[in-house]
Amino acid sequence: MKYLFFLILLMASFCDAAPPAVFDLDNAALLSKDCEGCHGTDGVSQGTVIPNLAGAHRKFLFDTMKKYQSGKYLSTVMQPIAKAYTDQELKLIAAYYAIKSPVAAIQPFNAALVAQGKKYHQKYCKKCHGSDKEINDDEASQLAGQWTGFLEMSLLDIKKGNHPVPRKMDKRLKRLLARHGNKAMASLLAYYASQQGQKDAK
Amino acid sequence: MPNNQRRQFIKKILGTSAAVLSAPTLNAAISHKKVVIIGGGSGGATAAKYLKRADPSIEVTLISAKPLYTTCFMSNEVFSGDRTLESLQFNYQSLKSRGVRVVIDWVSRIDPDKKQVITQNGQSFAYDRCIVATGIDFKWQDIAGYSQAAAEQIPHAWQAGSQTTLLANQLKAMKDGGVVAISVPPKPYRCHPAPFERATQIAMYLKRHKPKSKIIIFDANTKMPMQAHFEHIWRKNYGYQTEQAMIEWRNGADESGIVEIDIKQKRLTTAFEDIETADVINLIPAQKAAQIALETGLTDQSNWCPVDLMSLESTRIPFIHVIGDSAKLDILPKTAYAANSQAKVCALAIASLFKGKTPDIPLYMNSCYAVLAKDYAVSSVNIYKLAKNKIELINVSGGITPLDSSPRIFQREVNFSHNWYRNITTDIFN
Repeated sequence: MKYLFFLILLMASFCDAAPPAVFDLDNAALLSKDCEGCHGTDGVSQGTVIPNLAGAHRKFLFDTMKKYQSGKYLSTVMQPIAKAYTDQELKLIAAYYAIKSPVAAIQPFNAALVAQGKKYHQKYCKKCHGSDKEINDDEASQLAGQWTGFLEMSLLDIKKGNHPVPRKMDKRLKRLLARHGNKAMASLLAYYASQQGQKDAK
Repeated sequence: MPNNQRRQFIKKILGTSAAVLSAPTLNAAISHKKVVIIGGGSGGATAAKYLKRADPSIEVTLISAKPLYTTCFMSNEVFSGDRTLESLQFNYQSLKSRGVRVVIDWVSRIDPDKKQVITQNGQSFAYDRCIVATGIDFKWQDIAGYSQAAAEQIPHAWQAGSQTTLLANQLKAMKDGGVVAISVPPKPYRCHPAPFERATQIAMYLKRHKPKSKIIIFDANTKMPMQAHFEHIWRKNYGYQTEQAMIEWRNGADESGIVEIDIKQKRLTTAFEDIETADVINLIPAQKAAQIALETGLTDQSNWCPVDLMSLESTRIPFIHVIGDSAKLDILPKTAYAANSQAKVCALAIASLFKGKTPDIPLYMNSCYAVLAKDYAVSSVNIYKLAKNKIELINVSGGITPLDSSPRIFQREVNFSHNWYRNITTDIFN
């Protein structure tokens, strides 16, 4: 597939804000190449605080870059990086990582918390973040198989108001913490970290 | 279409397209294009990997002087004791498994007319395109009394490996109350913040084990990068600018660059003719493109190699590309990340050129971290795009960690820097 210049046609329908359904793979690879020094070849990070990009939804990736660009999300390097690219370029980069196969992080987790974490996930998170064999919402990040260090950091930012999330998530997160305390978070993280199989990662 | 189905569907189109489109290439039985890469560091190894990824039919030969590469980036952590030299070493097994032919030899000559690379062991390699990724060399003669042989006693440690070990051992052998001198050459040199990060990492070690000791930095320049951060940490942890300062910075404003050394007496002379002796000296000489680049005629009067920004092809000799520290890209710093970025631009451009296609317009990035304490690191990132004339680079965006960031952010930068190292080295060597 790398021999020739060709267009990839995606049959799925997208709204206007979404990254392109038709794009030049060579150009997208060239634009994305500098993400990989930090996020890993093909967007597969060695962890534990820099997230995997491979297989993330393209609308999620694009939206995230726009939020870094505007400073809505707390960051150090990500804001200047996001500012360097035009919307068109960001859409190509997002489309490029969306077609990569996700690779689950191989990392330690507390096995004793996994079953409870799965229950919390099903009640509070699954609707948008999918579960092991279901799909993610277009706008939600992939949690299964993501690096725990990164998820922990993001949760802390969300709690401190440095990483605004949709109201529906904010409400659910607060309810989860009010009912079950901080241990609920540890359980959720253990559950996501436990999803290391190929199927689970998707 | 749901995400997983969509992915399956894409795989199907890609699979079919690849099968149909590559068939004529196989039948045509044309000879494969050859690329010879000189140098197995950040630039060379990345270029080999990304050429194979872009087009597996390209015959890629990588010639490296050593079977094991030791990264200079992150090597300052060896001096504080936070890292071993082994953790900085990488081999070429993964590149071999990608189909790269790895040759351990020293290149003695490039013949641009015959398009051949000749090694010390008498091997010759024909190329359609050659990539020179040979890093830096030193202008030994700029410091009277210093030489490559003298570096076996007075290390530069600006190429990692035995030089790093030598300096670390000298620090270990030094008495408490000793003086460590670090000389910083005029710009441009490899990784501008690194001498100051090194001073800080050495100070971490001295404070723990030899607290009466002192570090004097002799800097040929008047400003240091990330200056506010370095001075903040030095004030906080090392009494900077007080009587008891563990770190002192003498700079170009006082003509404090080192111009002469007496190896036996361990005595340094500055441009202003101040004389200072030290117990351990880390003498970092001024730098230039690697000798092979100079001998081939790839350099201009600056002693660096001018290149075309679209493909990193030399503007002096066709079919030879220069990437990494040896390349002259003015505002792009000489760092591993920038070399990695250039290597990808070069590899993708060469793959396009072999297909008869004009390369797409590239961009370049540098991203790096300096670790100043267990809980304090500073990031620096810059993105460069081509100007309309395609012969100049514009720094379109960039920045460093804001000085007023919270402790949580500085701790995070330490975690990011170590994750950065794992990912960049995997991207280069695996």
